[in-house]
Amino acid sequence: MEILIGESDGVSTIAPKGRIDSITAKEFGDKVCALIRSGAKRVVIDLANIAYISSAGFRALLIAGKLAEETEGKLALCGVVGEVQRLFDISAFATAFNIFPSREECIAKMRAA
Amino acid sequence: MEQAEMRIANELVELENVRLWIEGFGAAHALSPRVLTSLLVSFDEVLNNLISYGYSDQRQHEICLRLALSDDVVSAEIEDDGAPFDPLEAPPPSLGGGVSERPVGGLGIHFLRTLNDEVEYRRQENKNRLRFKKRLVDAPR
Repeated sequence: MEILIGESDGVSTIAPKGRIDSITAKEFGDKVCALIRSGAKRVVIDLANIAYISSAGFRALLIAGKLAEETEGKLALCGVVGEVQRLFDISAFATAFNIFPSREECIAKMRAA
Repeated sequence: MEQAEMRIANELVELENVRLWIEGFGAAHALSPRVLTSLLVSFDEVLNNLISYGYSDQRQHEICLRLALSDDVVSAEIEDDGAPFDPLEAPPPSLGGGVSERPVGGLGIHFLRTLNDEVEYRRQENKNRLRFKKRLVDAPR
């Protein structure tokens, strides 16, 4: 799976592409957790280029979210639209994570946090 | 009625072939993103669970997948000789709370039941037969 990792002013960004299902969830989750373990305290996951997320993907997101809390880091999401938004609503993860409409807004909130 | 059938082995590497098969069916019949996502997620949930936990021996097993399209509904079927498993009997997952409180897991069956309009399970001739249906257009509420 293609996963773009970047950084701007102390905020790390992860942008996976395609889908987060039982085939790709492990690779995606491992990348996010590795980033947090390497010391990233402010992480933004941009899901704008994701078509859908299955339960394996939500499991990976949840594990990353728990790890961020344990390491006193901040994790926020953006690009939650269309089918991905519907799956977030069904799974009630829309209220569990910090989600912002755009990547810019997400990064700005993380900088202020 | 348009129909398609696929047979796979009980190996996780097959999931990629299943995805391509569903996407091909969706493209051929111009299924909406909503219907296509429901199919892709439902098959991913059921097959990942079945292949990971449904077999107690090390032998290769065949799993039969079917898709059928009528005027207003797409119907899917998964037939396997794995251990008896009725997803409709699984308790609903705990969905509340923040990241730290939420348990990991239990979401797959919730997706299967929520994304589809009908889910039906039967154990027949030592096989699990799971059928799920999705309406092409949402019923007005």
